[in-house]
Amino acid sequence: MKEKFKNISDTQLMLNFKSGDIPAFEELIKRYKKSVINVIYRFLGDRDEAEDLALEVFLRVYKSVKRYRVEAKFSTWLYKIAVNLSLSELKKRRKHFSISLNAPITTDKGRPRELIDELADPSPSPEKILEEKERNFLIKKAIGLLPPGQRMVIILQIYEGLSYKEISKILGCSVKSVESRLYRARISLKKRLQSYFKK
Amino acid sequence: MRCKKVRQKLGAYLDGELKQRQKELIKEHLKKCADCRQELTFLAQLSEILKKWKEVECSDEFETNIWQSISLEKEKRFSFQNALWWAEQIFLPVGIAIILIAGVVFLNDFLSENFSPQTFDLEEEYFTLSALDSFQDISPDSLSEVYIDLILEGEGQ
Repeated sequence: MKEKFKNISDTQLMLNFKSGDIPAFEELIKRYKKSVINVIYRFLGDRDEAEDLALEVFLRVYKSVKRYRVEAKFSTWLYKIAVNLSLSELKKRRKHFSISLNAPITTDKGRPRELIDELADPSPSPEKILEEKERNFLIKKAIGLLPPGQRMVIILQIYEGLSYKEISKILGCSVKSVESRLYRARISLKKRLQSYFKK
Repeated sequence: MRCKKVRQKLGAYLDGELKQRQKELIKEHLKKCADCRQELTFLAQLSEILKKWKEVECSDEFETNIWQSISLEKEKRFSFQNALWWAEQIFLPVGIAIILIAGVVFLNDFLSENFSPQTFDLEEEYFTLSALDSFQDISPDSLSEVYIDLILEGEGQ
């Protein structure tokens, strides 16, 4: 199936799906599932929740296919759905509890764990794996402490490699605002991840 | 360009988001300013460090779960449409018929109560007749018969 869709653009796949071609939708899922899950995961910090919300993203695409019009890139539209769902999930969470700087960060399995637990993983692991775990943990924490607007911009720029213009379309703000959010996010991250810089 | 202004633009410079003119101005500044060059190195390192955060993999069931949610959604929509069909085809006509019948019955009662002048006379006649009938059931030599005889005698005089 991969070969069949190799040279077909996302927009064309979406149009094919609109006219009833289900494999075209399957191909879109294959192309974007990892990106969507990771954007949500990096924003919310919980793997299971990210997968549930990613599922909701694709369900919304499925439901709104009839209304799909080629106005923007498919990926922009898809990221927009993912971002909106992540933001509303964050709002829901904030109603229940506030995030503390010392709050434990949830693991990829959804269970809250402290750094000490992460490092004391019972399986014998080489030093490199420990280092990697610690680094992942600290990056996750540093990004998690950014305000939501800055956090999302960093995720879309650094991990998804999107241009400022694309990010501005997804977030519904100006390119200038994207630039200034990135600037402020980088200042905060530089402070929090200082120990990793080579001088 | 001043260092403060340059530093605000260094991120965009690194991301290749500046226009040609701005890019050249920053390049010129960097040639002369060691601190800003250092800052640029930090920013580049920061991007590298951040990119080391490993991405998560999708579970094997992810796609199956999507299709399950879609079929659940379809079922929901189908049952809603079904309910709508029943409402349109059965409940609505039956409801209208009941309302019409009730309306006719009510109207009939209303008209016969308010627009029929003979009704009262007929009712009165009926009750008078039934009252007279009840006298015929009086048993002979009973107190009631004696009483009625006395009345009739009185009337005769």
